[in-house]
Amino acid sequence: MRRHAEGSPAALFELAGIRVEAGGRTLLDGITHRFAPGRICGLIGPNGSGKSTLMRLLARQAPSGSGRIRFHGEDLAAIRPREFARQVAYLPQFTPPTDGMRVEELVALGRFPWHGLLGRFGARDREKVDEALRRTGTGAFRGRAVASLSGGERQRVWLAMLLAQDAACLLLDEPTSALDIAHQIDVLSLVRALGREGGLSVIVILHDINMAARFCDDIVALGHGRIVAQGTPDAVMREDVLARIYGLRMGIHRLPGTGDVVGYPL
Amino acid sequence: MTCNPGSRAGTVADPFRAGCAPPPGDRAIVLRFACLCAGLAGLGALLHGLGIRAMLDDASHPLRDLVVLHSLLPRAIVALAAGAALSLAGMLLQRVLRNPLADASTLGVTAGAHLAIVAALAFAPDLGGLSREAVAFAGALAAAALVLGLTARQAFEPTGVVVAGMLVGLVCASASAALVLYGGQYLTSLFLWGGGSLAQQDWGPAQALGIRLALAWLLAALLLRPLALLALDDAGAGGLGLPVARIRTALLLLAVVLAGSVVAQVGVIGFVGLAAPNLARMLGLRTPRALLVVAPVLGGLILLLTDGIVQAIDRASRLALPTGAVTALLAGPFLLLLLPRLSGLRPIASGTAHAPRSLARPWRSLTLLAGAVVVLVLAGLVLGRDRTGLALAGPSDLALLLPWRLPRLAAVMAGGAMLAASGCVLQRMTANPLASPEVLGVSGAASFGLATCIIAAPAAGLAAQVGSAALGAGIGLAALLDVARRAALQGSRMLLGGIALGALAGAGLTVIMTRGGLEAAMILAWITGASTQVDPALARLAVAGALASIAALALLARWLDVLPLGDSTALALGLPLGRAKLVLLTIAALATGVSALTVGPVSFVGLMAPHLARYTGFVGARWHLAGSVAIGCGLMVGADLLSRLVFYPYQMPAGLFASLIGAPYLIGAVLRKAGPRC
Amino acid sequence: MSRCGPTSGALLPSRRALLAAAAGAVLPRSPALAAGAAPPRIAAIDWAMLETALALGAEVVAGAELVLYRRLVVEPPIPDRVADLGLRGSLNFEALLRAAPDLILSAPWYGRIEGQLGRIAPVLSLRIDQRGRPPYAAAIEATRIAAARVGREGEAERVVAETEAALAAAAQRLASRRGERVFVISVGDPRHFRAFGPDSMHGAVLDRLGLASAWTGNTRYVAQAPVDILALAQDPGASIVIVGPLPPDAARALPQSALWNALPAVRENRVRMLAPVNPFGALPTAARFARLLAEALA
Repeated sequence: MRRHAEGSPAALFELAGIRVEAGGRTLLDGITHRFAPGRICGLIGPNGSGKSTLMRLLARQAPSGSGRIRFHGEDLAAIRPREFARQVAYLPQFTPPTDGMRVEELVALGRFPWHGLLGRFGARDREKVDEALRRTGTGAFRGRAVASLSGGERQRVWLAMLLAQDAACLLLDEPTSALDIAHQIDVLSLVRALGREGGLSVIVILHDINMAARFCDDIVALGHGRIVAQGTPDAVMREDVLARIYGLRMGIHRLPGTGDVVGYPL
Repeated sequence: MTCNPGSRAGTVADPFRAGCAPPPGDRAIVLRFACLCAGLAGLGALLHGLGIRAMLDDASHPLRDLVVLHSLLPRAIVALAAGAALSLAGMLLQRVLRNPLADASTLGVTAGAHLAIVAALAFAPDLGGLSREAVAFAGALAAAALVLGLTARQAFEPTGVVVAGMLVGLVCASASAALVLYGGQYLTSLFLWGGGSLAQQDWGPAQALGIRLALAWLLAALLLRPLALLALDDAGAGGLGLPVARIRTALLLLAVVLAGSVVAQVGVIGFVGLAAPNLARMLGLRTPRALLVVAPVLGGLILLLTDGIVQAIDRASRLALPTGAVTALLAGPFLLLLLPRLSGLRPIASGTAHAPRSLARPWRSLTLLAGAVVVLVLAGLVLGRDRTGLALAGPSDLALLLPWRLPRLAAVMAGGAMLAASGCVLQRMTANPLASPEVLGVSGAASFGLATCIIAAPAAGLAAQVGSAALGAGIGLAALLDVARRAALQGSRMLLGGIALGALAGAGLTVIMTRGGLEAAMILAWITGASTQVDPALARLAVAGALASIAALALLARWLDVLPLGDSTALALGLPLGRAKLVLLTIAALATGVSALTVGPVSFVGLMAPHLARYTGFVGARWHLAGSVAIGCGLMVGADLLSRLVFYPYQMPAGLFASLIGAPYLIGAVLRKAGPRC
Repeated sequence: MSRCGPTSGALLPSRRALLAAAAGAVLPRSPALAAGAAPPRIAAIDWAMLETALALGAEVVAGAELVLYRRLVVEPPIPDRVADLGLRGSLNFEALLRAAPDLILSAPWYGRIEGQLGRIAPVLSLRIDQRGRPPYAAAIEATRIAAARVGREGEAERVVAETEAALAAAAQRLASRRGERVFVISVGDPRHFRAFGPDSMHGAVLDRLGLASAWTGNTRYVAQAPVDILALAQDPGASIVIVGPLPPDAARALPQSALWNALPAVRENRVRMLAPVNPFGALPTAARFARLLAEALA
């Protein structure tokens, strides 16, 4: 099922000197970074810091600027579209309207990279769809219209589609932006569980530094198109680092019991 | 106009003015505006001056002074006044409906006025004692009331209003066309394509328009403050003590009166009212006070310049183009240029809030649909008329009649199926339930391609005609999508680009028709009677085209499943996006091109059928395609049957019947769907 | 259950009988040779050919757009038994099929459907209005060709002679006005006119009557060009003849027009109104136009 076992010497993504400009503005200003495989990495930073631009580059949603991106050691642009889609699944920040599509129909679209335009939708595809529905806990409403679901349920269904895609790497652009706090926890717990169970690599943009600290293995913080901080949550959740990221005096507090660290503006 | 403006007349130190004082770039804006106006006025005056000079120098012309005095001068004044009146109407409509795309032409108001005049002249030549203007106003008012009444429930949501206006306008225009043709006015029929003419022979129209413009402008000036407040939403404006409904009605009536007067005096002149206020806004002028002054000035000058160009062309080549067609010709590209800069338009949400149901057993519904189509086809084969009444063909008659009825039915069905299929493709590709070959101007481009072929090579065979129609459709579609892609156009703006393309193609067709001659007669015959004049070769080609395109699309259904989810999702799923779009568009363009030959230019099957299929609950791409094709076939077969029977032996264009059957249902469906968004 | 329209019952079998007869070679295919047989049934798509066929006394069974023909062409009158084929631009083939013609008279305007017409009966397509060819001579030639096809060569000479006589009579009535210039126009709407040039049938008739067409410009749309009223001022000495029908709104608007009233022809009361005449006519149109013109101007 997984083509690239952990411990592979090549990094998941390896970026060198990425610069992107648009409309006279520098969106990314020389990013060089290695994303390790098999980990959940949170991308954080204030608005306009270049998080989404970076993710769109990784997901090949936008033409790359100058610089070089390698995926598992291969030139990112050289991989064929369907081959890439079998390895990397991407969830855009605003999921598109699905018209009258039903849940299982949407999830089944995740199998496109495998069966392609004319291939048969076989038993294995059906199996993968069922498994994705089961793992995301969305099997109960597989026959309902996606548009009729609540925001949290809908996000789960989209995650199910990504799972059905059977890729080892998930790129999630603010999967929690439209959700209330309970559903944020719910979706992120699911993401972490999926990552842990399946040994998936996940890169996820999060708005909330505390959520990132709680659910991610690594954090990469962007500011003005550069990486301003990176490391484990413990390394990032420090007053001086947070001040650097947000340009704001921040306090931190270690929660009794779980040991999680939260930051808050002073 | 009953909203006691008198109490609001004092206009000196006005807090709202202060509130919308121009930004610091004020000077630059005024300068830019002055330059533009000076340029337009200079060019326009130069061209008109040249015309007047040429006339005065023409010693052989005995009436040259009178001609200048009673024709050329009033013509210039009428151009200024009509342009100003249309822009004032456009500016008021845009303000009142909070819709930068509102205009007498996009709301179907001018088409309604035109239809009223044409119908009155056809049925009551003395207009029942009413003036032309009163008739035009009644038509304009009816069209406006229809469009606004239909969209009132969704609080005049901008795109809904424009689409409803376009539908009403197109139905009006095709009804006018049919009336003109049935009056036998083949020669003046080029005016049915919306070619308003500014030629004058006395000061009457100039005077009438001038007075109406001045009065309307004064009234609008008195309503300036309410006009500024209408920029807020209704609750906000109402909260400030404004009788919103009354003010809005008054301003709408004012705009409709202005547009009706212009149509009555000079005919249909499109898009000036859209272009001028938007141009003013692009220059940076935003306050109602500034727009009230600037928009009419700009509109008048634009029309003056356009008419100067038209006259110069006429002098140089004796090619008397209708000014109205030329404004549309110029407005098309302008509108396309304008689109990326327009702000304040939201894309149509395709069913997020209120997704239509999805059928539990699509097979059953499809079988029912297919059964209905079969019944219609049988009726189409058996039913006929003769001079005494309805005639049911017996087995022996059928042997004679079938060789005629069968190819025609087959071609019409194939045309409907292809339009429906391309509509389905375009709706899914753009994730926009209102996209279709007709709305996106692709049918118009196909017609233009066909007309060009007829003009360039009258003897060309069927293959060349189909090829050029498809080429026209392909180029139009590619241009539109290129603009759409570069400007990241979504939803509503794409539709507007299509409206611009359609206007452009229609104006091109008018210009070709103006050349006249045998070729124009052939084009006219095709416009009015495409489906009635089908021969077996065309029928075979159409059926082959329909089968091939539908089969190809059925194979490509998985692309069509993914594409409505947008480019991001399609890319993420590894879809070869560029190739997929190219292939699908090529199929859609070819299908549209072939169908244009069999169905003619006027029909909404490509819009209605996929939409109705979607609304019936055919969700997945394959089902949607199959449902659209079945509905498209059925609509066209029904329309063709009516076309044969209703006015026997005279035959109305089948496309007109198709629009008359489908348009009311479609408007209803569009509105129901958009309804909950307000 | 097989038929509910009596006409279809009456016409279709006769069509079949004719077909069967033709297949059995009892009835010769060329009607001109069928001396003694029933006269060939004629359907006319083009109005010029329709009026020609009627003038020849041929057995006309169907014609296109007869409602408008009766209003605009008027002569020769159409017998009630002639079936209407619907719009010229959107011909009703079923109606044509029911009329069961032996010969279809058409014109190059209908080239697109000529193949279709040929499936019903042989087609004779003649063009009278053609750039660079005098329309009067063309009309005589067309009359003779059509007459030969329907076996009425003698009638052709009669029609030509009658037309010549009508023209001569009209020329005589107008003898005092020889050499005068005339604008022949028809009115589209209050601001648009169509002028008939020397290459139109109206122009040719003017020439035969010893008058001159005042409209000499580049004529388009088969000898008709939409022109502004300005063009009428270019020849102050010319009279104006308006060929009907005059649209009511134009009839109302023209008397109020300063420019119209300033035209020398209008000031000097040299404007005449004619009853409708076929703008693209053949010999009967020439005779009708000459007669109406003589009545109006004399």
